Parts: sequence; structure tokens; C-alpha cells
Amino acid sequence: MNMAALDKPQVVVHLHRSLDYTVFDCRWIPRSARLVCLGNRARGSGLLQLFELTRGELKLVKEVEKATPFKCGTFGAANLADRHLATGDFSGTLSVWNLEAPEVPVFSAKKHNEIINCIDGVGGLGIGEGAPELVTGSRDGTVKVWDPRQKNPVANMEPMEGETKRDCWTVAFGNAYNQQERCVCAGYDNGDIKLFDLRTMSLRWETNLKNGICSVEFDRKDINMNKLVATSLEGKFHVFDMRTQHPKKGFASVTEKAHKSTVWLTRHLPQNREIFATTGGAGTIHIWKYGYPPQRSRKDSNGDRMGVAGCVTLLQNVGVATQPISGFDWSPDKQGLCACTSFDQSVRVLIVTRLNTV
Amino acid sequence: MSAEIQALETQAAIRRNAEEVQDFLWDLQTWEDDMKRKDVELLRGNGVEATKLPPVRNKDFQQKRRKKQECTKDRKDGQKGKPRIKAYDYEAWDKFVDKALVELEEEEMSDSMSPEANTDVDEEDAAEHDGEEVQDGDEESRIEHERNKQQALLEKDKGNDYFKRCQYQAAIECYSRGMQADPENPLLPANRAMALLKLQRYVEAEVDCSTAILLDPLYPKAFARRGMAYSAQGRLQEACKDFEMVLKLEPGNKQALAELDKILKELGTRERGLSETDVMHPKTQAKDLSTLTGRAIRPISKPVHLRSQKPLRIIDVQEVEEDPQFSGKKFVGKYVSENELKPSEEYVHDTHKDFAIKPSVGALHQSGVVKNTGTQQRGGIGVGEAAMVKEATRLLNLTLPPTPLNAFQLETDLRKLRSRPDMSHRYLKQIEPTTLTKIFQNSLEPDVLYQILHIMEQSFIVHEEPALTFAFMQNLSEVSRFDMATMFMETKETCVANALLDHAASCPTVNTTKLMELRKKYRV
Repeated sequence: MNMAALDKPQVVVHLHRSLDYTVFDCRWIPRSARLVCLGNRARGSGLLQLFELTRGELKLVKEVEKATPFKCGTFGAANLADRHLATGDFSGTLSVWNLEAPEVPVFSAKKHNEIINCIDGVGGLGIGEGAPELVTGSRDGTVKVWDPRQKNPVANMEPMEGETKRDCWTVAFGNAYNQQERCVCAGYDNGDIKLFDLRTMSLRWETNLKNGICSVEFDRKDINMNKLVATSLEGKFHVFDMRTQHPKKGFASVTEKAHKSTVWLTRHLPQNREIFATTGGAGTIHIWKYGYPPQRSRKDSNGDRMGVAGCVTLLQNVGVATQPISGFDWSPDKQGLCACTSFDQSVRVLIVTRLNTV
Repeated sequence: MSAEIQALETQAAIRRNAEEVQDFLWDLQTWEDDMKRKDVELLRGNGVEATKLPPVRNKDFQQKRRKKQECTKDRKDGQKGKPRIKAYDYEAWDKFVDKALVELEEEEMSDSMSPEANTDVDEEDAAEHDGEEVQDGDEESRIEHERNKQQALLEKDKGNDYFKRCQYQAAIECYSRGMQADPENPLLPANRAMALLKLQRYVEAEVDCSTAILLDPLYPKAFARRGMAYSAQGRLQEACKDFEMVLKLEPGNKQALAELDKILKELGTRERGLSETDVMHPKTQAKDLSTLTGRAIRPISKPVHLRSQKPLRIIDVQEVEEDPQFSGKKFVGKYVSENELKPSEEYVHDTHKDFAIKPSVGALHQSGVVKNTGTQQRGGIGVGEAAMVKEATRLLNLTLPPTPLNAFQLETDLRKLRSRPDMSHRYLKQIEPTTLTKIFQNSLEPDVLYQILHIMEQSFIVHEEPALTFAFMQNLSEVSRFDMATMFMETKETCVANALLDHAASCPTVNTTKLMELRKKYRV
């Protein structure tokens, strides 16, 4: 063992709990020590479980079973007063649940024809300016933006007629720094990344990374677009500098190989957005740090500004499970506390130390 | 040497790491407590101020698009004209008619939302019935079920609106749709029964009531309505049973008492062979009871299960006025002899010791006292000579009661003054018409209304200004539950109301439109 390894942040599995269903996603309930897990029962129904951290134990508080399996969930558009959970399910229904009374959804709309793979929210919890909105991406190829005050989506991004419909695997909000500006980034199974500008209602940028995009996330939703991490199927991830968009070349990026298998997820540490975690197909978790270059942009020969990518350094890597890690969430209230779910049918609470000193 | 130092440093680092994890865990515990406190606070709804949300995105865009589409559509229409429905296309015509009807209905609803009017149809929420719902694993069907219930309630409200406007056929259709949406709600069949009764379709009404009773076997109104349906069909025995059931569920229900009385009278005339005493007279009993309880005491009617379980005991009561011949046997405690009676004590005399005794049928019938105060006023049967004399003196001594403060007082006073039309007239006259709504609150009984109308017809038309009559009629019609009271008016009462309104019409200051409204309200 060398000294360098010992000076890095440590990732420790604090709690581990086996579950009897396939769990896809987990989310910390904001301002609480509680955690929601979403998944699929073997008999084909959906299950939503509420756990609470109590003295070194993960106590099951509530369990709600619904007809269709849940795929993903978010608190991003919820206000702190009621903390409603928005979920996407296998049938293509977007539902918003009051976890105190989960019998009937607060909001429910089935506008996707197929499974909702991914969901994100903004404007709630005091993160992001403007109205609370949700975005869902589905296998039917569409990305829909929702305002829970209205039953129909406020924006619908679908391929033109005649184009093949690609499976949308991931969506993320960003750029919500004032009431008008807002962007949605979507990643597709063919390696497409599309950036939609919701103010102008136009496609702002698109690129193809050759391999399916498993996860995209902005470092922060509530600032002028800064960084975007996109992970891909074959074990690479890309970090884009989103500050400077070159008319031809788009955004500058740095690519890093990791995990030796699919990079399922990326999640930025809410308390320090230069640090992010990626989770791998082999049950590994990597913690990364992004370093900015001395100059973030430069002029090219035509006088157009183009971005300069920084570099990423691996802070720690650890294997916690034998199966892919499908869900990962940093606690918004406690730095270094996170939870992950994996296909070995378990939920784990991890702690990562020394994050404030890196 | 350097290897040794390295080993030591590694050891220290490992120790440091272990300590860090330990520290984190300690920290986590305090954090946990802190968070749980904040969490609970949030769940209670504290600590977050509501923020005003920006408008929904693209709202105006959607409107614009819709407008644009309409524009283009209009243009197309202009070119082609509306597609004509072919005469043989029955399906299309069906759709067209349905749509037109719905539109018409909506229009009607929007321009005639009358302010809250009280009617006999039930406004109560079906919430209590929601509670019994079975937890179903199947989410979809549950939501569907919920929606149907909502639909049924909507239909019920719509039906009630129609009912208030006397459009019974339309009301029936609404209730039927509601019943289709939610066959478990007993309010819908019960309300439909009421509408059917109005249309004198008694057999159907009876069936509907039975359905309602099946759904809710403790629903008094369903029994009452079925009773009415039965009695209208001449099936008096069954009607009698139903009204008795109503009384069981809602002791003291005036309507049931009145109906039962009527039925029993009818039965009595039918089976003349039966001795008079065998037939119970619940109405008289009830009336007598209320006479027995004095002026200051409010009627208390509690369902059987809510009544006190304590054993009854006899309370010593001062007997003020009763003839010793009567009270001596029945009453415990001392009595005050007759010569001590003063006119002012008139209203005390009713205070009987029978308070504590439940108004059970048998006990009252045997008491004989009942006959004294109650039946006699009506010139009843089998009353002793002494009582007759006493009654006469009592009537002579009668002083005019003060202005009543509530409906109960009014009712008792009117009953006392029944045999003295002049007194009744004076009594009514001293009531300020505008206070009528206050006096009655929610307890305008049909009987009382009719009584007042009769008194007014006998005396007001001859003695009073038309303006006063009008004021009385107007204010009476504003009492809540007036609609319900008029619903049971018979031709006799309608004639009375008509005569009064004619009298009122002779007043020069009365507005004709107002008068028309009044006529409508009195169903004249």
C-alpha cells in the first residue's frame, strides 16, 4: 500500500440492505434522513419504499405498491413544503406522489407510449430560477417537459417524421439561472446528445459520441451552463465545458476512460460541483475531480471564441457491488453521504470522507 | 531506516483514516437527529413560505396555436360550408343531437345558477360512503372508481338543481346517469325517488327507495319516501311500517308523525270495527309531549343508542294547577291547590313530572293526563266532565303570550291559542314580520306554516292592511326550508295561500313582479 492511496478520500459502505425486488433508482428526500427506492417486483408490479437512517440502521418506514413498475424518480421540481416525488414508470406515465398520502397520485399523465427511462426536475427546492418543471425521456423517442400545474407537456421534443426514433436514455436540466433561460440535455442510445433551449424552443447543439449515452448531468442546474458530464456505454465519459460554444466545433470536452465497463451514471456532489461520481457496470464507484485550465477559452484563427477543456483526476475508486449500480444519489443535506442501488437487489448507504479537503 | 519510517507513516495514515470515518459516523448521528427534527417540522407544514410561481411555459404559445388553427378551420369552412349531415346517416345525427343537448344544458347551467335554495333533495356529501371503499390492489380501476364517484356526485348536484327548478324529468335523467356511474351511492336513488314522487310515478319511486334502503338500511329519508309512495298507492299497512321505521331512526320526525297520523286515521275509517283505542295516535302523543314540556324547555330528540343508559327515576315536581282528582293518583310530591292559581302561572302549569319518563307509547296512553291537555282541545273522545269545565276556565284565563323567540315557542303558543282565533290573530300581529326568519331559523315545519296561513286567512284578510299580509307572506317565504314546507301543500293550503296573496295584491305599494315571485314560491 502506498501513501498516495491513503491520502485520498475514502469510500466506505456504511449500511447495506438487501431487497426482494429489482431496484432502479434511489433518492434522498430533501431535508430529511429518509431515502426513497423505486423498482420492480418480480410479479410485475411497481414498488416504492421509504427508508430512514436510524442509528446505523436503514429502517423501512413505508412501502407502496403500484400496478406498473417504477423506473426513475426525482424531487427536483418539488417544493420543500410538500416534497412530492415525481416518477416515471414502465407504462410511460409520469406521476407525482405525495409520500404522506401515496394512495392516489397528485398528478398523473400518460403521454409517452413506452417506458420512461429518465426524469429530471428543476425549479423546486430552491434550485433553479423559474417555474418548477419536470423533463422525461422515453423509449418512444420523445423528450417532454412538464409543468405539474397542467396535464399536457409544455414542450415536446420528438424526431421529425420519417426519422428513426431513438431510445432516450437520459435527460438533464441546466442553465436555469433566470426566469426565462432553461436548457434540457438529452442522451440517446445511438450516442446522440441534444441540447434543447427551452427559451427559444430550439435545438441549440447536438453531437454524437458513437456509443449510447447512459447519463448526462450538468454540474449545476441553477447557473449559466458551466459543465456537462456525459457517460457512455463502452466505459468512457466526457466532460464538456459549456461556457463557450464555438459556431462550428461546439463545446470543448475532455474524455476519460473508466470502469472498463458501461458507465451507468454520473452524479455531481451538490456541495462541491467540481467533484462527481460515476458508477460502473461492474458495481464500482469512481470519484472524480475536474480541474479547470488556466484559460477557459481562446480565439481561433477566425477570431471565434472556443472553449478549452480542463482535466479530470480520479480521487478514489471502489467496488461495492457485483452488479451494475443503477441508482446513485448524494444527500443534499450532508456532504459525503450518498446512497446507491444496484442490480444485486440491494441498497447501500455510503460515506465518502475528506471531500472538503480535496 | 527509510522503510521503517514509511511503515510508521502508513500506520499513522491508516489510523487517521479510521478516525476520520469514526468522526464522520459520530457526526452523522447528530446530523440524523437534527434532520429528523427539521423533517418533522416540514411535515407539520412549518418553515417554508409559499412563493409565487412564474406562469406555465408556452401557455400563450398554445393559445396562439389554437387560435391559428381555428382561423384556418374557419377559412376552410368558409370555402366549403359546414358539412351537411346526410338524412340517412342516423349515427351522425345521434351524435349531433347529443352534442347539441349537452351544449344546451351547459348554457342553462351557466345562466341560471340560482343562489342556495333549500329543498328536500339531499345535499349531503357522499364522503361517508367513500370511506367504506375496499382497498384494491389494482390502481387503475381504483382511480376509475374514484372518478366515477366524482361523476355521480356531479350528476347529483345537477339533478338537485333541476329539482329546485321543478324540472323533475331532467332531474330524474341526471340521477339515473349518476346511478350508472356509481351504483353504490344511496343518495341518488333516494333523490330520484323524490323526483318520481313529484311526477306521481309511485311504483318506480317505491322501487328506487327500496334500492336506496338496500344500499343504506339506516337511511330515514328513503323510508319516508317509500312510505309516501306506498300511501299514494293505497298500501297503507306498508306505508305505516315505513313511517314507523323513520320514527325509529329519527325519533320525532314531524313529517313521519303527520303522515302516520293520516294513515292511521284512514285505516281507522276503513276498519270501523276496530275500537278507537287500539289505534295508536303518535301525532297526538307527540303534540302532547311538547305541550307537557314547558316554555323554556327545548325538545330533545335523541336516537335510542345515544340516550342515557341510567335507570329512570322519579323527580319530585310541584304540581301547580292540576285537579287533585287527576294528579292525586299519578303524581308524586305535593301539589298546590287550585285556588292558589294565578293567571300568570298559566305557562308553569304544564310542567309535568313526566319529564324523565321516556315518551313510550304505553305509558302516556294510560296516564290520562295526556288526554286532558291534548285531545281535549281538539274536542276529543272520552274526556271527563271535570276536565271539560277546567278547560273552559283555562281558556277564559288565557292571556296573550309574549312575542316568541324561537320556532318552538311559536308552535306551542299557537297550539294553545288554537281555539281562540282572535287571540291567535293578535298574537301573530305582534310579531314583527322581518323577525320571522330569525324566529324560525331552520325549523319551519309544514304544519306550523299551514297553521299560520290559516290564521292569517281567517283574520288578516278581514282586519288587517294588505301591506301587512304581504310583509308576512314575503318574510315567511324567505325562511329557510320554506321550499320544503310548501312541497307538501295540499289544495286546501294552496287555496289559502292564494286568497292571502290576492289580499296582499290589493295593496297599492306592492310591486307586481315581487308578487309574481311570491306566487311562484307559494306554488300558487
